[in-house]
Amino acid sequence: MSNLAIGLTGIAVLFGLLAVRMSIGVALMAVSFVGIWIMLNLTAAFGIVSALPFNLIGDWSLTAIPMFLFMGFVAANTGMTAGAFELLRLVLAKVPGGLASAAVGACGMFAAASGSSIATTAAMSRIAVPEMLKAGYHPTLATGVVAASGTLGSLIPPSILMVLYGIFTEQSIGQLFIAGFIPGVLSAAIYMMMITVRCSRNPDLAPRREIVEDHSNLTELILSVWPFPVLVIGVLGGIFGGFFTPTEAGSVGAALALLIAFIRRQATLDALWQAIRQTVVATSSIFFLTIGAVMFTRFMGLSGVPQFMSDGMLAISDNKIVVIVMIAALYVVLGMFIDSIGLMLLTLPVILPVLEATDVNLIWFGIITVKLLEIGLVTPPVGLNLYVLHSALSGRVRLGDIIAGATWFIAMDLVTLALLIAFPAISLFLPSLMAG
Amino acid sequence: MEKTFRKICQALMLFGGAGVVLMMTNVVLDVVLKVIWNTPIQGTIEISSYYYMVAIVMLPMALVELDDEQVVVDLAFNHFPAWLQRICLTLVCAAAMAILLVMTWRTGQDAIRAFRVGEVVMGNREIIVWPARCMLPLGFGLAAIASGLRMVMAALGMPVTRSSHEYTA
Amino acid sequence: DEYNANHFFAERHSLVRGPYVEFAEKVKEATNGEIDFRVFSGGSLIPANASLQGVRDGVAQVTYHAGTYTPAELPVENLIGNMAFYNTDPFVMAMASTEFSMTNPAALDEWKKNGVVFGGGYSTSEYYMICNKPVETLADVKGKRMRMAGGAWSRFAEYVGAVPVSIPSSEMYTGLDTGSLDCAVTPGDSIDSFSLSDVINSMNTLAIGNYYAGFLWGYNKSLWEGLTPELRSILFDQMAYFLAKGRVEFSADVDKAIENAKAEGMAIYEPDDALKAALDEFVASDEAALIAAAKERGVENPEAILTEFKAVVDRWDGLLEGVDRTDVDALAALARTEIYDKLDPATYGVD
Ligand code: NA
Ligand code: NA
Repeated sequence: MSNLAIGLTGIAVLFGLLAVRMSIGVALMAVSFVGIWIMLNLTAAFGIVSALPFNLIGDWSLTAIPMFLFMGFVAANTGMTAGAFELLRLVLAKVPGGLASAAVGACGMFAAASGSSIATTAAMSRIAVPEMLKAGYHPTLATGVVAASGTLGSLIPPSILMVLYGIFTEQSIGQLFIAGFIPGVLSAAIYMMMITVRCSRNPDLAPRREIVEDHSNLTELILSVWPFPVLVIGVLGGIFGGFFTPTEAGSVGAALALLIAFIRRQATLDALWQAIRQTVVATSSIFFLTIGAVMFTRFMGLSGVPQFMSDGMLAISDNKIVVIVMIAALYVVLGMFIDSIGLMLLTLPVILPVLEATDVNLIWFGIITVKLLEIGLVTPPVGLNLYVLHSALSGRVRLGDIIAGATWFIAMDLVTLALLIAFPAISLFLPSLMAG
Repeated sequence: MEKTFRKICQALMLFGGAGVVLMMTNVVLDVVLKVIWNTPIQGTIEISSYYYMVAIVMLPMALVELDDEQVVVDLAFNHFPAWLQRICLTLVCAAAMAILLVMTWRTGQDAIRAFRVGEVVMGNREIIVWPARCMLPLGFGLAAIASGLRMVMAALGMPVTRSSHEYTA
Repeated sequence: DEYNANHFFAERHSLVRGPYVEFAEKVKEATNGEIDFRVFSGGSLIPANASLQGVRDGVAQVTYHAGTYTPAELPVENLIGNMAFYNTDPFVMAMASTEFSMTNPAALDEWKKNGVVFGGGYSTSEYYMICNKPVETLADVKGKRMRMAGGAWSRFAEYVGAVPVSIPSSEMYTGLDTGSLDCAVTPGDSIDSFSLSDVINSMNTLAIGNYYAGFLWGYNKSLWEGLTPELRSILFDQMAYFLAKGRVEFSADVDKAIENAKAEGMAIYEPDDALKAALDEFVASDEAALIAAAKERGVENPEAILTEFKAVVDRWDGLLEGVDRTDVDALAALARTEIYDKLDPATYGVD
């Protein structure tokens, strides 16, 4: 069997193993180990096992991952988001589907405190979804909105995906962070527009109810939102002010979130312990998966599959926009099956040569990639946000309803994506200000 | 049996948690000292990367495996009949145990080799790293045991998947 | 047969373009396809710090390796690699480190212990202070945060009162951009390869050593032993050529990057006498630290090794005097007559 055939067989076997519920990390490791064994020899297969895990975990830039996770879990467990959601729901009370739009906004704010979409979804699902269900919102809307808006967690800085992307493509993580800001806000705005239009046309989705407004609360609520601007300014300001690097920003952000929790007297021992526990569990499983993904990347590289695929793509066209649209289509399809970090690590080796051949700006492409990976988080069958939401609600809403609800938001994501591709300035305007 | 093992795993997770707090504290102190007094804590990068991080990733791995918190795709699986689910889970846990044993064995060899040569890394100072290497076989090895335990439980028809536990995260 | 060649630099780097990509083509041609290297660049096969391990295990059959990643495994190589300030002519150091590593018994023993056959060395161009503010004098250097390559470079920084910062090269850009870093101490071509030109405005021409630790080509031992002497000869011949070509192109890349940066307004500063003197004092005093570190790692008689290494360096300093540093063929001819032709392809690297 040729190396290419071994590689392609490996991909098929991988999907088979995933279907019978093997964990993605184990499946990637097993396929890579056996594949390299067949292709080269057993010593080389053990050699990959030996070379990768320790060096991967010991990569300084990746220390930002547990720290940005910790920051998000601290914010979530100390109830930092509740105030933001309350405020937005008051402000948007008169707007059709106001609660859902408030959830989008609160997700966007929380995204500034969280490096991960999953953490954002998990936190907001328990705050916003029950409120919407109580208010009589259709379950598809109540869950779909949080599943989709949770993905703002990776687009609005800080972002673990951007950290990984920056490392693998040798791009500035700080530039990526700042580039994601406007696209994140744009995504949120488009979600809100869609919600408002849909709800005004179909009031059954979000029944209008008289809400007794308590304005004495308003000032207090506005004040309760202060942690988010502080975190944004603290993290981004610190990076661009030269006080610390994007990697160090993870630790500073986490410490800042802790400090805010203490000031707000919400830092109970239990909340902190929960945040630490969630951080180590999430970090351990992300790295387990990443070790597998990096082994798989090596296996793919040895088999020549990436070269084969990128040659195929370039044979179709070497026009920049056509190439990006092809990559986008590939990501949307693969994103249905593969988790975001795994997908990015798997595809970058294929895609980077194509991008370099067509001279694509890698910061711009990074934002497009993150947006694409975020779409993958809400597309079945492998859409982690869907599952996080499903389990956070302890099965109160059927998975099918969550998926149906997310479909509308996926459609909006495609609109955002088209805008990001058509107008690179949306992503590159802020970085250009910083560089100038 | 499962309870004792779980206790051990939970204890190790505590050390992983300590890694989170220590890393945050160390890096923040380093940043503050750099910004204010221009005196970084030498070795922060190496200690963070090779000790705190390895602890955060490796020590909780067994508990993550035991609690079925690894990332899985169960959409097709959920439609399988119960008997098929049981067979799949048993085989998948066996495969996980096998690959984890491969990882344990090889990273164990590496730890021994690193100990023999007294492995160090070169930052601005030399930092000894071989003790950190030992956390890899420990983490992978316990995770292999966790998989083995789940394999037996799955074969006996006991619940081993996350959806059958209360969701806690 | 098809083999894997591994380098963790990007494919566009001068040490990959010639010595790996073009080398692989030429070797395939010269051996009629008997040796066909597939080049994996940018660490896509083996991460930077695991190259030695990877070639020993046969993940790759030939690899580049930066020696300071493995100080404990390669104590002799690190001893001479940290002598980076003794002679800062990169052409001399590339040739001398190659000759020393292929002939010195302690060095040969070290390669054998690590299951690797040394094929050829290299040297980067001079490390310069490339900064986002003027750094001219010894007084300017004090308190500046400098990204250092570790080891002797960090000790030098501390010696002159700078603050050594060890961050990955990928963080140099942000560091310089935001000011969390004042200087990157790195060869001039980094201005291009890490796109630093937007975030720097000055360079000091003080040559702060070259990096030449490790090897440009290290072969998997069982692969090497399986080759016929004729094939090994062909590899020797090609390595001699690409050792020269890689070195010439490295310098050309540096010149180009510095010229471009100057055109964009980068100021060039000559070091003041105090700074030059401080470097000389440091070099003299640091030898004791090198010897102590080597002894701690079990190197027998490091003083003698250093003396021998210096002799080889001095020899090459003489051999290269007056040689055109852009003439690849002349340099390759020297590498052949003075190094590779003296080795016996039937016995070199074979027990
Ligand atoms: Na975020
Ligand atoms: Na998906």
